[in-house]
Amino acid sequence: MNRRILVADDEPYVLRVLIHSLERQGYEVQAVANGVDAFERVMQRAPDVLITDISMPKMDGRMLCQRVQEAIPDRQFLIFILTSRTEIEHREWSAALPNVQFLEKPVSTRKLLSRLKEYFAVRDGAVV
Amino acid sequence: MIIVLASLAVIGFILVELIHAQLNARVTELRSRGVNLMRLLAETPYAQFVSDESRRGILHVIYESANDGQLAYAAVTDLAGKPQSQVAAPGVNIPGIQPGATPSDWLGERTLSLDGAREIMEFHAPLFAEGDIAGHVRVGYFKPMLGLDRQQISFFATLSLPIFLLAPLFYFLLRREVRPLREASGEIQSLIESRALSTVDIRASGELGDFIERFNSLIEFMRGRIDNLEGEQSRLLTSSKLLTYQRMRVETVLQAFPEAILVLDDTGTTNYANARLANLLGCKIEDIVGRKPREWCDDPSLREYLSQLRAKASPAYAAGDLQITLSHAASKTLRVKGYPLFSPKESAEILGTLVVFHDVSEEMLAKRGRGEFVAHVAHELKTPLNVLAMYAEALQGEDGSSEAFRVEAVNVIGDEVARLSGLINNLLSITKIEMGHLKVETRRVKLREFLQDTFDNVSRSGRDANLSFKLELPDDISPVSVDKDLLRIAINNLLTNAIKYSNPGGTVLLRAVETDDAITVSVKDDGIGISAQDQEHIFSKFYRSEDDEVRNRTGHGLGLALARDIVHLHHGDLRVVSEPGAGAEFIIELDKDSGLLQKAI
Repeated sequence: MNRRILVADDEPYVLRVLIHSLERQGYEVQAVANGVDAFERVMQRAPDVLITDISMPKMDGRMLCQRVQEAIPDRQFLIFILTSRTEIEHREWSAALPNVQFLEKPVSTRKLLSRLKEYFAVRDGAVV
Repeated sequence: MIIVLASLAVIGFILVELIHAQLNARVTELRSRGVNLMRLLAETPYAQFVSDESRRGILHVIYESANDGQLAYAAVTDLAGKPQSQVAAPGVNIPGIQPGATPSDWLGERTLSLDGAREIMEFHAPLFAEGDIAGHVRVGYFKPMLGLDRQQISFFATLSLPIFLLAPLFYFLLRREVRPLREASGEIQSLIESRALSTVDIRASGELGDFIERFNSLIEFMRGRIDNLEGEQSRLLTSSKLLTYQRMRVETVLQAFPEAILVLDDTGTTNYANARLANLLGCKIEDIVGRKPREWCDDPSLREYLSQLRAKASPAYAAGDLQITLSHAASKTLRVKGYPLFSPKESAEILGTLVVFHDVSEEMLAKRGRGEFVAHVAHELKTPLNVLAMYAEALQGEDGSSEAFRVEAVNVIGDEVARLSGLINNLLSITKIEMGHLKVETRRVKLREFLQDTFDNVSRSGRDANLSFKLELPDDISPVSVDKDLLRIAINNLLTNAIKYSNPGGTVLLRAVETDDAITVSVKDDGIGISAQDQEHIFSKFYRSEDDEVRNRTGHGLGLALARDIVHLHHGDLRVVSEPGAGAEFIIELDKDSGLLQKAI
C-alpha cells in the first residue's frame, strides 16, 4: 500500500530535497514543475496528498487548487499549500476549500514528514 | 449777390402787383361801360333796330362812337338767335349763340372765346316790341390783356431806379454791421476744425462785444473742465493699465504654476482654471469658467468632492485629499486638494476655494514599479535561501548520514550561494547604473588580451559541464577605450548564460570581429534557444520564462538586464539572434564613431 504524493514546485532544488526526503520515508513521489502538469496528473489518478507551491509558471497554485476543486467536488485527498508567513492573502481564498493545510516556507522537511504521518494516521485510523 | 437778387424780386413783385391792379381797373371800367350801354339799348324798341332805314343806323352809331378799338361787335338777333342787324370790327366773326329760354338768362354778361383765340366780354339784353320780347341785342368788347405801354414803362423805370441805387447801399451797411459776427463764426469754425480750444480774439462793441466776451468765458470754463476730465482719464488709464499688468502677472504665475489649478467662487461657480487643468481634464477653459462643476465635471467622485468643498468651507475646515483616476485617461491618477480662500480683512468671510490638482500618475507608477522590483528581489533572494534552509535541515537529519546526499548538498549549497552572491552583485551594479551613481572608468584596453582572459576564467569554471569552449579572435584588433571591470561583468553574464542553457556536449563560442565602423563581440551557444515570445522580454529585469526547460536552469533574472545596461553605458548595443532548439547568439556591437573607441585609437 504505497501512499502516493504529488509535488508541484518550479524550483528544481526544492523538488529534489522533497523527493529525496519523501522517498526515504517510503512514499511514492511524483514531481511536476507547473500547475498544468500537476492538474493532468491529478485527473489521471488522484494522489493521496498534493503538495503545491503557489508561484509556478503556466498555472499557479491557486488556480490549480480551484480547478481541482471544480473537477472533483468530493475530493478525498489532502492539499498542502507551500506559502510564506507573509503571504496571508492566500489564506483568504483557500478558506473556502475543504481539506487544505498550509506549510510555511522555507519548508522544513521534518515538519512536513510529521504532518504527513499525522494525517495518514488519522485518515487510515478512521478507515479502520 | 443775395441783396441784388432780393431787390430785383421786390421790383418784380411791385411790377406784377401794379399791372394786375391796372388790369382789374380796366375790366371794371369796361363792365360799367357795357352795363350802361345795355341799359340804354334795352329801352329802345326792337322795331327801330330792324326797320329798313335805321337797320344799320343805331348799331353803326354805337360802333363809331365807341371806336377806341375795344368794341369787337354789336348785333341784334331775333328770338331764334338769327342776326337781324350787325356791325363788327374788321376780321371779327360774331360767335353764334342760342339765346336763353328763361327770362333770367336774357340779361347779363358772359365771356366768349373768339375763334378760340381772344376772349370777348359780351353784354346782352332782351329787346321788346309792344311789350313782348322780340329779340336780343349783343355787344362784345375785347377783354383787356396784359400789356405795357410806354407810359407804364417809364413809370416803372422811375420806380426801380432808387431801389437799385439804395439796395447796394443797404447791402454794404449791413455787411459792415455783420462783419464781426462773420469773423466770430469763422474763428469758431477754425476752432472746430483744429479741435483746439482757444478764446476768440475779435474786437466788437455793443451786443456782439458782450456775446464774444461771454463766449470766451464759456470757452475758458470748458477748457478747465476738459483739462480736469483729461487728467481724470489719464489717471484711470494708468490705473487700469496697472491693474491689467498686475492681473496679467497673476495670470502668468497661475499659468506657469506647475500644478493644475481651479478657483471656485463663494457660490461654487468656477472662477478660474489654468491651461494645465484644461489639459488634464481634457476640456476647454472657456467651457469651465463661469459654470458650476456639476455642469462640466464628468467624473462623479470629483464632482461630489468639489460641491462638498463649498458646503463645508469654514476657517477651521481643511479639505482632505481626493485621489481619482480620470475616466477619459485611465492612466492618470490625480490627487485633488481644496483650500478655502478667506477675505484678507474679514477672516470669517469665504471668497471661494482654490483647488489644486496634483498629477500623481508618475509617482504611482514609480511606486508600483518600486514595489514590484522589491517583490522580485525578495523572491529571488528567498528562493536560494529556501533551498539552503531545506538542505541544511536535511543534512542535520537522517539524510545527513548518506554520503551521496552530503555530496549533493554541498554542491547545491555552493551553487545557491554563488547564485545569491551573483544576484546581490548584479543587483548592486544595476542599481548603481540606474541611479546614475556608477562611474564609468574608461581605460585603453587591448581587446584581444582582455577577451582571452575573460574567456579563460569562465571556461575554467565551466570545465565540468561537458562543453567545448571556442575562442575566435582576429590577430590584430584595435585597442578600445572601455571600463574593463564593467565590460567583464557583461561578457561574463553572457558566457554563464550560454553555459547554463547549453545541452551536454554543446559548444560555447566567444568571438570578436572588427569592421570599418564597429567592433562586435558575440557569445554563441548551440543550446535550447529562446522562443520569440521570450526574446521580447529577456532583457527585462526578473523576467522568467514560462518554459519548464528554461526554468529548470535557475537564474536570477538580472544578468541580461545588467549586460545591456553596461553595453549602453559604452554607447553600444546588445541584441540576440536565436531560434528555439538552435542555440542563441548574443551580440555586443560597439560603434567606432561613438568616441569611446576613437579615444583609444
